[in-house]
Formats: sequence, C-alpha cells, structure tokens
Amino acid sequence: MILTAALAIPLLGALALALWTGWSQSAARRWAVAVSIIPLALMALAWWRFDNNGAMFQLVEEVEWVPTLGMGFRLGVDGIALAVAAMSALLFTAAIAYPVDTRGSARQYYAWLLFLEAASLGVFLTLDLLLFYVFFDLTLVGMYFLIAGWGHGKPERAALKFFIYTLFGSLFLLLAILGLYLAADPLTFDMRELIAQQPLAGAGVIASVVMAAFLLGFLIKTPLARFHTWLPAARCPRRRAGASFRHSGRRVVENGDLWPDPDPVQHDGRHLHPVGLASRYSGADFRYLWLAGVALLGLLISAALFLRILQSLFFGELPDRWKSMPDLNAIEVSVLGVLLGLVVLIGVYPAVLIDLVETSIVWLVGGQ
Amino acid sequence: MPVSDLLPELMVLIGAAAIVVSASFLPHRLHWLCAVAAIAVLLASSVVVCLRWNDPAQLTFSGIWALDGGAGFAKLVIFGSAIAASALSPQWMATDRRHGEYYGLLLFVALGAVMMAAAADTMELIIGVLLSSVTSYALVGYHRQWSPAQEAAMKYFLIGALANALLVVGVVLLFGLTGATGYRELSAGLAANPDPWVVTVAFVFILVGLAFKLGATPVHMWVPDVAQAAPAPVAALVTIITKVGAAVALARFTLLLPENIAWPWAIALMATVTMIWGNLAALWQTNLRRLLGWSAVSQSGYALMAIVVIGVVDQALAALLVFLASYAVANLAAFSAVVYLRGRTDLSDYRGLARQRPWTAAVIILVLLSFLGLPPLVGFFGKFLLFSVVIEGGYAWLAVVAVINTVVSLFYYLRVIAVLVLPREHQHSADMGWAAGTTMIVTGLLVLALGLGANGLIELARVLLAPYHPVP
Repeated sequence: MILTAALAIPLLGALALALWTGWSQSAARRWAVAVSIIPLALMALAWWRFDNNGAMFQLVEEVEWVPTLGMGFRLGVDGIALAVAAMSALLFTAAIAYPVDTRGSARQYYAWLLFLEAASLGVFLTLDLLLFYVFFDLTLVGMYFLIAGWGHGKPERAALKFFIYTLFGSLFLLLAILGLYLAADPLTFDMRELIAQQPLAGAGVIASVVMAAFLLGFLIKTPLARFHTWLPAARCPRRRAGASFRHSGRRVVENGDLWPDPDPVQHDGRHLHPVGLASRYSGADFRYLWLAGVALLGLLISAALFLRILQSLFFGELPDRWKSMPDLNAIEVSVLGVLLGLVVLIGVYPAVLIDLVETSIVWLVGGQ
Repeated sequence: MPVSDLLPELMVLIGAAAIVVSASFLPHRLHWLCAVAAIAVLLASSVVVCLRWNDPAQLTFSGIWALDGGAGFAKLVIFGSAIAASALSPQWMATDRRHGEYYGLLLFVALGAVMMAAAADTMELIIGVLLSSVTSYALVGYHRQWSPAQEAAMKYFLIGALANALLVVGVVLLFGLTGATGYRELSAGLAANPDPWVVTVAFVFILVGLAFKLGATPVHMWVPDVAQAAPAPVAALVTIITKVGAAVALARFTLLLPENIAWPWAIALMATVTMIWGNLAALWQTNLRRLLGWSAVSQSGYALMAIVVIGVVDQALAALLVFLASYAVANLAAFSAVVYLRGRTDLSDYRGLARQRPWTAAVIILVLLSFLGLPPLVGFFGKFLLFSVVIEGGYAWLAVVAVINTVVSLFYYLRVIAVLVLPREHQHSADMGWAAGTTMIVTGLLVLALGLGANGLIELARVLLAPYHPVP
C-alpha cells in the first residue's frame, strides 16, 4: 500500500486543487507543500522497510487492470528505483516549497506540479512495461502544461517543441515495448516475467531492432547528442529561481543525464536501468574501456567549465544590474540548505546510497 | 425466412416511419417528442442486440444478412452514436420548421450503416450504402438557407454519386464473373480462380466505393466540409457511423478475395496516404470543426491498418472494433462540446475557453488527447491494439508510418489545446442548454472511463470470432 499511496496522494491533492475553485493563492501553496511531504515520508518508510539483501523487487503490489492484454497495475521497487523515487519525491517537495511567481494562477500551477509528481513517481515505481509507458506519457502532459503556462520567453513554442519531440521518442518506445511483448509467451507486460522469460534472447535481427527502438526512445528522452534539440528550447524559458529544480526533476524523470554532473544526488546510475533492462532482454553487452576514457575527457572539460563559473561568481566587480537583487529569503535558504546538506552527506558517507543500489546494479549487469 | 432475426433493424425502420408520420400531425412546439421517440426506439433495438449477444454466428434471410459478433458490435456503436446525436439535436433544431422529420432521417441513416455492417451479399451492401448516402445528403444540407451547408451537401452528393456508381460497377463485374451476389457463392466462385484482372478491377471499384463511406483517400474530400457545415449533431453522426459501417463491410468483403491479387498492399497504401493527407491538411486549420473533419480522415487511415491484416491475425477484427468504438466516443464528445457552445467553429472563438468554461474545455482536451492516443484514455487502447496487430501481421513499417503520423497530429491538437488554455482573457458565451451539456459530460466521461475500464471493451470485442466466414 505504501507505493500506491505515494502515487495516489499527490494525484488526489491535484484533483482537489483542480475541482474546487475557491483556493486562495497562499492556501493552494500550503496545501501543495503539505500534500507533497506525504509521498516523501512514504518513500522514507519504504527505504526503511527495504531489505538490501532481499528479493530483487520488493514492496510489490499487484492489481489486474487489463488482463486480456496481460497488463496490470503492478508496483514494486528495486534498490535503484527506490533511490530515484525517493529523490524525486524530495525534489518535488523542494520545488513546491520554493517560492515561485505563479502569475496569479497558483491553484493551477500547484495542481499540475502535484500531477507531475504522481506521474513521475509512477514511472519509477511501476513493474509493468505498459503501465510504465502510461506514466511516461502522463509526465509529458504535466510538463507540457507547466512549461506552456509558466515558462519565460516563448513558452508556447518551447512547450510545443518539447511535447512533439519527446512524444516521438515515447512512441518508438511503445513500438519497442510491443515488439518485446509480442515475443513473450504468455503475453504479458510484467517486467519480472519478461526478465525471467528473456523473450528475445537469441532472436537475432528482431532483438536488435527492438533494442534500437528502445534506445531511440530513451536517447530522445535523455538529451543526448543529435537528439537533444528540444532541451535548450524547453530550458531557456525557465531560467529563473525554482526552474532548476524542475529541470533536475525532469532530468531524473527521463532516467538521468548521461553527461557528467557534479551533483551526486542526481548521479545515481538510474540511466542504466531502462537501457540496461533493454540490453538484458536482447542479450547485448557493452563493456568498452575506451568509452570510459572518452567520458573522462568530458568530465575534465565540464570541471573546467564549472571552475570558470566559480571564478566569475567569487572574483571581480559586481555588475550594476545585480546590485539591486535581493538576497535569498528564509524559505529559499532552507530548501537549498536541505539539498546541499544531502550533497555533502552523500559525498561524505556514500554508503547510505551505495548499499541500497548495489545489489540491484549487480543484478542489472548480469552478475547474478 | 425468420423475420424475428431482423428485429432490431425492423424496430428502427418502423420507428422511423412512425416518426415521419407523426411529425406531420404534431404541433411544431412538440416536435421534441420525436427526439424522445427516436432515442426510445434506438435504446430498445440496442437491448435486443444485447439479448442476442451469445447467439451463434449465422447468415439469415436467404444468406444475405450476417448475424455475428462484428455486426452486433457495429450495431451497438451505431445505435449508441445515434442516441447521442438525437440527444444533441432538440435545441439545435428547435427553430427549424422540419424539426420532427429530422429524427426520421437520423434513424434511416443509422439503418443504412447497420445494413452495410451486416451485409453478406453485394446487392444488400449496395442498398445499405445508398440508403445511408441518400439520407445523409439530406441531413447534411438540412440548413438549406445557409450557403456553406449547401456547398457541403453538394460536394458530398457529387463525390458520393461517383463513388456509388463505381461500387455498383464493381459489384456487376463480380456478378458477371461468378454469377453470384451472396458472399458464400462469391467466395466459392472466386476460389475457382477466374480472370485475376477482372477481379482486381472489381476489387478496386468496390474499394473506392467503400472508401467514400470511410472517408479515405482518394474520395475523402467531403469529410471536412460536412464536419464544418452540416448541423453539428449530424456531422458527429455521419463521420462516425458511415465509417463504422463501411469498415466492417470492407473487412467482411476482403475476406472473400483470393490471395493472388495482393489486396493487403492496396489497402496498406490507402491507409498510408489517408493518414498522411488527413494530417497534413489539418496542420494549419483555423476552424475547429474543419480540423475535426481532417482528423476524422486521418483516423480512417488508422482504421484501415487493421483491415490490412484481417485475414492473417486473429485479433485484427477486435482491434478494428475497439478502435472504431474509441473513435466514436471521442468524436461524439468533441462534437457535443461544439454543439454545447452553439456550434462556434472558428478557432479564435475558443481563446481562453478554459477560464470561462473549464468543464467544456476539459472535455475538448481529453478528446484531443484521446485522438492522439495518450494513455489512459480510450483512444490509447484503440491505437495500441492496431499497432499490435499490424506488427504481429508483419507490417511493422505501417506501424512506424502511423507513429510518425501520430507525432505530426500532435502539432495541430496542441494548437487547439494551447488556444483553449493559455490566453489569459475572459469571454462570455451562451450555451445550448442541459441536454447538450449532459451529452457532452457523459461522452467526455466515457472517454476516460472506457480507457480505465478498457478490459471490458476489449473483452467484448475479443470474444467475437472472426466474422461469419462463408464455407465455400
């Protein structure tokens, strides 16, 4: 029940905001913060209950939804999914608590944000491939309305581009899911069943095509080279306080960013999960040392870039246009403080995270 | 000749006749009673269809009329759509002097579509196509003082005359070749390998004739005009039921064809062109009803995908029926919203509607996302099954084409959604009263509920066996 509640409560909170029109701006905000803390607490509870040496998927909940297609409302977590889901819950609470100019439509803004939280948590918590796709697409809807309604610059264009581009990816994902599904016997979308069956193992060309479609779908979602053009358009209109939270939230929703990133909270290997699953299904294997070498080079370049940012932050004259900018207020400081505290904590004592994800990663790379 | 086999159809026929007669005696202010009568007749017929749901599939009436799951499902969709269209009409037609007989025509057009779906004989197919055509020409041009309606009816009529003539020629060719019109005899005759060229020509003619009713390329040009200028309830009804009837009829007919004429490729080509044409034409539409019309064209292309694999994949018919049902529900909800807003068509009239009328805007948004195929709305399961059967049938490229078209269609659906939601301006608007409002809410909820409860819909379509297949 923990996982279902973690999805249902933000959704009900969003519905309450959407259906009753009498919310004042501040009441809507307080309500949203209160609602978003509950999934965070539930994730903490799940973390506490999770047995690092237990079964691969734990806290499993299963209800038939469309049994004729082999689709069910199946939730459950492995270590990786739990870590990322907990982190998204934290980020959503932070993004909701962080003061934002909602342009007089606080009720709608927080309703969409809570809706997006439910959908994003669903992406991580589901154990059913088709349900995964359902939540995946619902995040697109939530993000479309958030970008279009509260973005800067030309938000409508950015939101349109974002939606079209990512829907393209998600539909190829659907085709890949279908390819996998049609090869399974009996037909099912249950991930555990699919992992056990390995329906496309040794299927040759078909496996490669399905793998390619999975990759194309995920490549578009994770803004990799050649497939990233939606990202700047969607990001620029949101260049303001709070936007970065949503950005990182979104980035995590899209299964992590493969670019080197200084924030260990975000960098937890979730991106391995779907791609890894796909590679497990199709029996592909990629252990290329030179790739790590290239990645190292990238790490070096981004370190240099971040140093430049630090340099311009701390040294030199303050430009006139920033002189009138007010300092962070108490809420902003506390939100940022919690997040930065986690950055330091996980850096100093990474075992909290690594213990959790280690077993699952071993599973994932095939070392069972 | 067991007359009771045709009880649902006979009830509609007698009801239509009774409505036409009583409309000439009722005072004009009481003509809305005809709407009530039409709904009652349609409900009763639907109940009869449901009661006979589990009867074994068979041919009746000297083998010209199929009683099987495909026909039964199509009847439910057609009657249901006609009920919604009748519920939308009383306010819309209130000032029209010919209000009462309008419902008679509605019943006749539904009857024509049902005949198409149940036809197991080429002559009966012609009768069904002609009945639904003739009545829908009249319905489309019902606002005869309004020039766009005249234009739409004229266009519809001219294209229809051509397509129906081709259909008749195709049927005559087949008759000349095999000496039969019943599907059972036709199937035997075609199995004896007659001249493949004549069969090909006859098939192409019949395909064009049915494509006209489907709203598929190359005879789709009437759809956007009808959607824009016909009375809005009629636009909803005609775009749905002719499509349902013709799709089932085409599925039934293609099963007769011998394999040596490569008919799946012809239909796959038609599906591809229809999808692309409909979507490209919809891209820059500034008129919502016209946009819905072009979207209906592209949806016909998706429906054709299932017919491509109808002989190869068991579940193809189920996929087709679920898709048609999902399209019917969503399209009814879309046009109900248009009717509820008194038929406003220009996209700029919808600016900021979400602030003024959030429920109406929510229904329109749900419908567009369902057309797009976004889960968990009903349209998702329709499209999902279509993709699934074409991949299973070895036409994965068709699924890729459909995916690309879906992405293109997102562009114009989002244009509408952006217009509804984003402008921060208020505008006041009149509405069409509770009947249209209720229909809109019910159909809008169905878009969501049938998606969440998709299992029931899919199960209903899946228990149907393949359409009654004549044994040569």
